[in-house]
Amino acid sequence: MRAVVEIRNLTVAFDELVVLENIDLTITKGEFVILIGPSGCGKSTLLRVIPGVIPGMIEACVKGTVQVTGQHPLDLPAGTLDVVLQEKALLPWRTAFGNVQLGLEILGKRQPKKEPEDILESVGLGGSKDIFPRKLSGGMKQRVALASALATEPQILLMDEPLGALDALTREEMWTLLAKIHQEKPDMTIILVTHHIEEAAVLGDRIIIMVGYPDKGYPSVIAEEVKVNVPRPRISARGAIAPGCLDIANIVRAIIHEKGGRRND
Amino acid sequence: MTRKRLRILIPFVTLLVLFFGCQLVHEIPGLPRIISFVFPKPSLILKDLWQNWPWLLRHLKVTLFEALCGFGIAVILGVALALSYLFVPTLERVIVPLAIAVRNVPFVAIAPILFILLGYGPLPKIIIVMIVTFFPVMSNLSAGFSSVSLNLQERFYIYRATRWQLFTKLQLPAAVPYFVTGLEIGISNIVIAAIVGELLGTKAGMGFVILQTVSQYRIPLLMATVLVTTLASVAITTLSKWSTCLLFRRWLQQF
Repeated sequence: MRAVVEIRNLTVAFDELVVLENIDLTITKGEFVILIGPSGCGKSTLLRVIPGVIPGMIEACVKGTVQVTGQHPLDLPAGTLDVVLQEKALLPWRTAFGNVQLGLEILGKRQPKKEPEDILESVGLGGSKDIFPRKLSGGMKQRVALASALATEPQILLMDEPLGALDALTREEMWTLLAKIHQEKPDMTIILVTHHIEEAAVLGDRIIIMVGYPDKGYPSVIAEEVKVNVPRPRISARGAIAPGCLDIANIVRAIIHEKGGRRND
Repeated sequence: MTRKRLRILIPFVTLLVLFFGCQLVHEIPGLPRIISFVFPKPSLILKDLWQNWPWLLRHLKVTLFEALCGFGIAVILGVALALSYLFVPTLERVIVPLAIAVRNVPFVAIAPILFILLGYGPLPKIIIVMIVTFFPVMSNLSAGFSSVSLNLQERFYIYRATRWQLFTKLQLPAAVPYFVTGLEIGISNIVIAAIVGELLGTKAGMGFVILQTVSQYRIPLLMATVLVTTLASVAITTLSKWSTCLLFRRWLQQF
């Protein structure tokens, strides 16, 4: 498979604080990759390097090479990537429909393959298109954010703890939705940052485990990669997680404990 | 009785109680004359108000003209300054300290200079109102521009949005509630600023009326003047609140 993201020997530092060190990562087209690790280990930093937010918007010292669809992140054409963030990702003065249209408006896509109404419908919000974000629940807001990102038809979808603020049941509903999207869009690469181990095992094709405590002087590195060879669907209609995923989750947990236990050093 | 009716009725009832309460105080036998001189009967105040209404109205118009002109210029100046350092961030280091300095100069001290330069007409008072009110407009608008979350800015960056798209689709709508608050703070001071300007030197306006009534010890008319200016100030503030709510409803309601 063709690599869409190629990161070689990446080191990222904010002034004196080295957050990432010698990161090597290759992500292929259509893969659902999870970045997992303890809080503050630099998962979000790595995610922000891919679209060029670091160093293009947030100043940092970046060494190494990063190639996204064969190009430097700062040279990427608009619309190659889109992002779903944990919170405050919607414009409060726009309706759900208006938020879905935002990316299309900025990118100047007048005739998208799928209309915003249909995209809202596909994330289960067909009847909520005229509702403003403040009247939406946490789960609905994240569905709108997801629909907004899907509307631009990105090649790579970046997600930074999009389900972090949701309750357990809503989170499980979102797992099913994300799995469905991954199935329906096999060419779209998804990179999701989470610290929820079961979520990683249920959603990912591959889990990248990051360890390190940059604030304590230990820059983060990729400790290990775990392939999730569990057939989909991995979660039942009643929310039961496939036993294979639970096994993977236990393996990931063990690796994090074993290789990430430097916090008290 | 509905909650809405109660909300309207309560201030009226309070005013009536105050009116008759003050009126009754004056009926207390042996009340020192100084009290009735300094705090005249409400009925006397209303009588003077009725008799001098055309004169008061003429001067009120002058004060309102100065206040509203000054505020209008303050809004234009505040918006222009906030926009200038949004688009040219290095200007912030020049504009903000200067604006703070101008805002904090006691206008009692600069008023004589303004009068010497511009005469005793409305212009110096307009400038005083502008000095008092441009700062909340500028600083609030600027705070609104900066209030945009980093997450949203990142999205716009990922879309490779132009500077204009970032401004029109993100920073400007996000700043609307802050701008409205700045307008409310500013407008609540305009009448008082105009009157203080007039007190320092004038031939017309409510400040002139106050100077006249005080020098002639016409306390009921002075109170009537105070009543008129207060009502005018409340009316302007309320009208401004309604109009901004109406104008910016789309943005204000959704936060």
